[in-house]
Amino acid sequence: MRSAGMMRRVGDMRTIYGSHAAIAPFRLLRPARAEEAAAALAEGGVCLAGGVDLVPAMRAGRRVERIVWLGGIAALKTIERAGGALRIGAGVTYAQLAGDAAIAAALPDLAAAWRGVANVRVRHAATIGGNVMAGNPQYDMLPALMALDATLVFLDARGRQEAVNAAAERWPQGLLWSIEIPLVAGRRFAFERSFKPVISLALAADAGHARVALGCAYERPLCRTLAPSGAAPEALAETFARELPEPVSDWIASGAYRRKLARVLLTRQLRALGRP
Amino acid sequence: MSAPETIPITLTLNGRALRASVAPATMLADLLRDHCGLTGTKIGCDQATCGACTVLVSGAPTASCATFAWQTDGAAVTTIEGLAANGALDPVQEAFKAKSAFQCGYCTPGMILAAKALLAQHPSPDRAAIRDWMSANVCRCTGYQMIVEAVEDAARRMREAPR
Repeated sequence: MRSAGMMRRVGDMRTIYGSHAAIAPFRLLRPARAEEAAAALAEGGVCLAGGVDLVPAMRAGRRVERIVWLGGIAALKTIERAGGALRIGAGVTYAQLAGDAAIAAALPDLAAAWRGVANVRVRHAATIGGNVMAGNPQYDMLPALMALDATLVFLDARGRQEAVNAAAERWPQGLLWSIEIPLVAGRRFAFERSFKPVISLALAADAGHARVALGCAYERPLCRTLAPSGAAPEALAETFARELPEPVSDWIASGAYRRKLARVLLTRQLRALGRP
Repeated sequence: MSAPETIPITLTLNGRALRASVAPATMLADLLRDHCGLTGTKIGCDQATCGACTVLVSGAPTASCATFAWQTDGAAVTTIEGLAANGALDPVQEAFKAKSAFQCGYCTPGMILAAKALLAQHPSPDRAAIRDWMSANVCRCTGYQMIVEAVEDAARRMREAPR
């Protein structure tokens, strides 16, 4: 499994081309329990859930010796409210996320955002865990989870769980088991995707705090907390953008343009959420 | 790698039990077209993008060119051949016919199955929902307006005469 430090490069389009006939032979494991899957991963297996990321990579020539299919593990597909958090199994699909009553009640802005992600076939196949663990800085779930201050829970081969904040630099090895999103009264969430693949911006804001995460602009999504302030959205966004490390420059856009968009999009979303 | 591995699978294909033995890398589209002779499922882009290969797997619209056959083990798969019953076309097929919602016809099986999935989940979709769902499928003849009208017409037919 990739670590957080092994993200694919921004703008890497290798995975788009290739026929399914070019997929090299592989061995298949279909565990029924998450612990078995974690053990198989520790021995060099590669996870497949919806296949939205891995199958195109295999068409394009990525050789995988052993696939560990996660689709048979029912425990990965559950959504529940646990204390002050929403616990979402890593195998939950986008369609489940967008349509689930518990998520719609607790985090309606997140459910609404996910109704517009990708196309309907992808939404029925792609999983939250797959999107996070694919390690593609163009993907949407990790910036959203970083802004929401989510915790990722990993399972190792012995069945032990280890939790880490989604914005942490390093993640534990093992199977991504679940995602826990803290529920904060009055918190709103916005996700600006209209400038992809140049940049995406996720914002979670409540009365006192705001967390912003940027996708598409760095080797891995970048997350910042905005200090409580009485400043206007324009001034907050100006400071935020000025203090950013230099964004990636590639064939899609220059770093300077990405920095400018970070300011524009944050201003827009702070205004939309009605938060300074 | 030693002897080629094959995986025994059992699925319900268009209402009938199917037992097959597939290599891990066999795609669902190849199982349907080459093994079962169900060539109504088309392969267009072979990138899971154009939607021509769309079939229903347990009701979900699925790109059969990017789904391994074993992923449907235990599931119910519906292809375009499974829609007409007792010599009568499905209401969605009737609606596509009535609205002339196809020209060359290559995208049509995938379009009709996408519409079936939509109407199963949302029996009275508005235009925005129809466009959202059907935008996952590409029509190179660009007959989109008639396709949207056909899905609306199919919804009406299914509400008036539920099967």
